[in-house]
Parts: sequence; C-alpha cells; structure tokens
Amino acid sequence: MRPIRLISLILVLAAAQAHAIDGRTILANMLKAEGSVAYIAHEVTTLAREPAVTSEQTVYRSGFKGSRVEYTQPDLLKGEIRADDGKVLAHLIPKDKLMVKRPSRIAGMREWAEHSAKALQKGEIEVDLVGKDKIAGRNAYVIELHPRHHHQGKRKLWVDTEKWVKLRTEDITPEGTVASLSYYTKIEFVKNIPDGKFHVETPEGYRVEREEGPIRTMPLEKVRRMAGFQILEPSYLPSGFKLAGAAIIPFRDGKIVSIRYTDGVNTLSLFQAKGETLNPRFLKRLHEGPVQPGRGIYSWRKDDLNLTIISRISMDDIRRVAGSVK
Amino acid sequence: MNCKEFRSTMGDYVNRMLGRDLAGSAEIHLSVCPKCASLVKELESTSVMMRSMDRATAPVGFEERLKARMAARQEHKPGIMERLSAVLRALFLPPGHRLAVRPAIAGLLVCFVIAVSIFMISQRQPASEMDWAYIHACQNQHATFAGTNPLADESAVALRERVRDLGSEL
Amino acid sequence: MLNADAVLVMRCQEDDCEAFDEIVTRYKDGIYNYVWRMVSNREDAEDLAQEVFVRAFAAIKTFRREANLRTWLYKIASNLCVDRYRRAGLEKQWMVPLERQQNDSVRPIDIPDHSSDPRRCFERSELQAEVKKALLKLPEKLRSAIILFDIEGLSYEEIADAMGCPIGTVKSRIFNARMKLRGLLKGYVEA
Repeated sequence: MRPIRLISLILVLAAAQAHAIDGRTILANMLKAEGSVAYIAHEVTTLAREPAVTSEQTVYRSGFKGSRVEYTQPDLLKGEIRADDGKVLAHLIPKDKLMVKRPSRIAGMREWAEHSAKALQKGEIEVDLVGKDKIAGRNAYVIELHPRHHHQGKRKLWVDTEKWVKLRTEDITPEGTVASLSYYTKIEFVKNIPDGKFHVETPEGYRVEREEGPIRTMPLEKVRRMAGFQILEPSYLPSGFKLAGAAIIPFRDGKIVSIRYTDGVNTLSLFQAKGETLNPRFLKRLHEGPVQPGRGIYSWRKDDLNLTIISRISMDDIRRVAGSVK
Repeated sequence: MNCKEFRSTMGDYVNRMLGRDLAGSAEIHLSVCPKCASLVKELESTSVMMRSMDRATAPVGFEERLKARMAARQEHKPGIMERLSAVLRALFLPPGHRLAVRPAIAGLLVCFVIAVSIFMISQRQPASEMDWAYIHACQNQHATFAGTNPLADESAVALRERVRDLGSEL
Repeated sequence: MLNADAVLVMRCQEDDCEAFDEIVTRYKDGIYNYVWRMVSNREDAEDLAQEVFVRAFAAIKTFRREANLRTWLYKIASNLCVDRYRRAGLEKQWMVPLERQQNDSVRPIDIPDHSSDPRRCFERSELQAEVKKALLKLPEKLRSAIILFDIEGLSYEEIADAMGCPIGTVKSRIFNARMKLRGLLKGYVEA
C-alpha cells in the first residue's frame, strides 16, 4: 500500500475510534444532563396492565431545580398538575378540589444522580449500547442497563445524542416483558424555565392534604438517634444493594423509620414502627405471621417492632432480606 | 290524582312497583303535569344508568383464596367461650346419656352459651385486618424514593400511584 | 317442597362441604359486585366478599332453611360494609387504600396483583365512571339500598330484610338516593 493511502486509512480509523461511544459514556452523560438541561415536552406513559393504562402529559423540566407535569389524558387525570419546586411536590386534583402536598422528589435527584454515576464508575451498573433510533424527531442512542450482580429486570433508555436527555424509558421485567414505558413525542430545549412554573397555588375552596416526610434521606446514624427505638437492619441484601439513606416519617402519634437500599437500578425500602403506632387489628394479624398486603410488599413482626419491605425485586429475595433483619 | 298525591307514589312509580290501578292514575297525571313528568323522567334515567352499570364478577382464584382463609380460621385456637361452650355441650348434650331431669334448663343454658360464643367469634373477626393508612404511607415513601432515581421512569412511578388512588376508575 | 337454596343449606347443615362450595359459586359474583359498588376498590371488595362467606359458613348451622339464603348473604354483606365504614373511618381518609390483597393463612403466599388482572370487567365509559363516582358520594345506607334494588335486583322486602329496616324506610332510601343521583349527575340525566 502506498504510504499516503496508509496514512489516510490510519487517520480515518483514528477518527472513527474517536467517535466510538459506549453505553457507559452515554449513561454518564445522561446523568450529568439530568441536572443541567431545561426543556418542555409532550410525553406519553403506558403501564402494561390488562387493559393498559396510558396517560399523556406536558412536562416542564429544569435540571434539579424543578419539574411540572400537566396531565392532558385520560379524562380522569385531565387538569391535574404535579409541580415540584425542590421543596414541595404539589399535586393539584381539580376533580376532587384537592391539593396534596408531598415532599419534593426532584430535591433528592441530584444525590441519586451522583450515587448512580459512582455506581457506574465502579462497574456496579452494566450498560450496553444496543442501537440507534429517532424519538420526537431527535437522534437517540439506545442503551440497556441492569445491575451487575443480577438480572432482576432491566431498563432500556433512549438518550438524545446531542443533549443527552432521556427521550424514552422502558422498564423490562426479568421475563423480558415491558412493564412500563414513557416517551416524548415532542421536545423543545429552552435556556430557562421561570421558577414560578414549578409552584402551584392552592385555589380557593380546595382542601389541602399534607403527606409528611423528609425531602432528603439522612445518614442512618442520625435516624438511629432520632428514632426513639432500637432500629433493626438486615444482614442479607441481594448482591449490589447498598444503603442509600434513611428517613423518619411522622405517622399518627409515632414515627415510621425508613431505611433505603439500592443497587443503582432497583430499590428496596425497609420500614419499621413500634406496635402502638399501628392499628390493633393489623398488629394482631402480624402476631399470627407475616402478611403480604400487595405485590412487592411484605410485613412481619419482630420483637416489638412491625416491619415492612417494599421492593420490586423477587419475593424470594424480599423474604430472605426479611429473615435476616435483626 | 294531583301532584301531592302523585309525589307520594312517585318512588314506587319510578321503581315500577305500583299496582295497575294506581299506575294508571299516575300515567294520567303525568300526561297533564309537565313538572312531575320532567322529574319522573330524570329519576327514571338514574334507574336506567344504575341498571346499565357493568357487573363485576368475583376475581379469578376467589374460591381458592376463600378456602385458604377458612382453613386458617379453623386453625384459630379456641378461646375461653368456645372451650366453655364445648365443655357445656359435652356435659349437657351427649346423645341420650344424661339425666332427663334438667333437659329444659340445660337446653336453654347451652343455647345461651352457643349464641354468646358465635357473637364473640364474629366480633373477633373484623372485616379487614390491614392497616391501609400505614401501608399506604409506606408505599408513598417508597414511590418518592424510587421515583427520585434518574434511571427510573418517574412518569410511570407517578402514573402507577395515581392508578392506585383511582382504583378501577382508570 | 324445598327450593334449591334450602336443599343446599340442608346439605351444609349435614356437613356436606361441597354444598357450601356450591353456595359460594352461586352467590360470589352478586356479593362481590355489591360490596365492590359499596367500597369502590377490588381488593377491599374481595376481602369483604370473602368475609361474607366465612361468616355465613360459621353460622350456617343455625340458619333456618325456610329463610331466604340470598337475602341472608346480602344482610351479612351489608352489615360488614357498615362495620367497615364505622371502624375504619374510610370516608374520612382522603386516600382510599390501593393495591391490596389479603390472605389469612399463617404462611405468607404470593398474592397476585389484581391491578394487572387480565380479567378486568369494569366500566370504561365516562358515564359509568361518573355514576360510580356519584354513587360513592351517597351516604352509605342510601347507596346500599339503591345498589341492592337497581343492580342486584332485590325486592323491597328482601332489601328490608337485608338492611334490617322497615319496607317504608327502604322505599324512602331508594327515592332519596335517586334524588341525590339526579343532582350529582346533572349533565347526564334526561329531563
């Protein structure tokens, strides 16, 4: 081969290599963009049930500063607004003339994004680039991610190749079926969204309900001091799961302590409360044995505490975690 | 029939429970009284709407779960009243082996004990043994935690919560 | 001559377990539909409906064969619904509990998630949703009376027996329920 052709070939290969991108880089960029990009989008969300439930909403998002979702479909949700200004998530339900105020969700997202980025660096999350696609008229990388240690289901993300924003998310069960999906049909990136957009005033005549709870998790040690009772912890966790923090939730005249674990993708919450906080019928029931009030919920009694695990991991794993709590 | 008389039978008329004669009088009144006729039409349409509601059927596996529930109840340790009832039954109701002198008094006593036992058993088996407010509070907290994950589908988490709130309406 | 229900009751009282199974098969849908209309969510409805049969089984030996079995079952269901509202204060809670299952066995078993039950048979149309919402706004005694009459097809006498009140009270509850529904469903009632 002539030298000039060889040099050209090397240059072309080098350029191609420079543009090669892997799943981990895409995910890392996506996590960074979570906190910095502002946009307005139209989104469709579907839950796989029989029959499926689909909603459509207009989404306003400004990094970790705030978010706002205005439901436009179905009719039962039309007019509802969820506005999160980093302190409070206000959910306006015009049909019931109700305003529900909850702890902010976006406030904890920065911490989560950092946690996920670290987990990614340590290789605790495996990410594969599986293709390219077009969503809402924009080019997207398609990546699949799951925790390294197990396949309790995976996520498939479509990430904007330019702005690194999630354009589509699929939650996939261990059996390979799609449990839920959300995607943008339209998206417009903006410089800024006014702060007022993430705040909703309570209209006159509306009832206000408040849901207690902290915005951020606290270190477990702090919660141990504040709990007022001896907190129990599991000695077994599924591979990859680590402590993500704890919280105290005022409930009736007492407290529920919540300890949170994650493997970066899946989550597990362990709740514990003293007997007198709960209603006597439930206490009696727990005395007889563990109870499963719903899918992914497992409640049991140990010593004088009532404990509940909520997670979407397998029931076997949940029971194993529960069995190890002391 | 005037309006006052009609209104005293209007409920039965709408429910199609009037006898033929009264129904006839009611029809005549309605043909000349637009106000009553309008009200009847509105009330009848509530009946139509109610009757056209879909009927739910018991979920799949209902009978199996019921059997399991009944089996669990059978394992329930007998309380004092149940044991007392069993003892008294053994003392006073063995087939043909007891003193004939006190059958009436014994029978009344046993009936009383059995009635009290059944009443107390039913009082100890409340309709629901779940503390849904507590479970709900835990679910909300978990959803907040799970939905905060940037790798999660926050919109799906939020929709799932709403679907739970609205139950079968959605 | 005994009717079919009376024969079943007789067999139950002679400890024929299959007879009770047949009673459940015969009445589970009606009972479930009634309690579901009363409490508005499937999981509570199943819990209550099962409790109806558990109590019926516990009391079947003392049931008079000539009495109306169907009415008796609705009576138990009606009492349980009243009991539930009184004890749990459900109407005061702004959030009705969600995905729920109950299993009374000592060992926990994996309870299917009915929120993704493929055999859903609930109303879809806006009108049905509105009627359902309006029904839930009725006071519980009015709601019970009109559900038993219009949806379950019980007679005045049967409802009086089930709800433990005079026939006149049943008529007035049904009438008042209709008047309230008329107000709540203003855009839908034909004038």
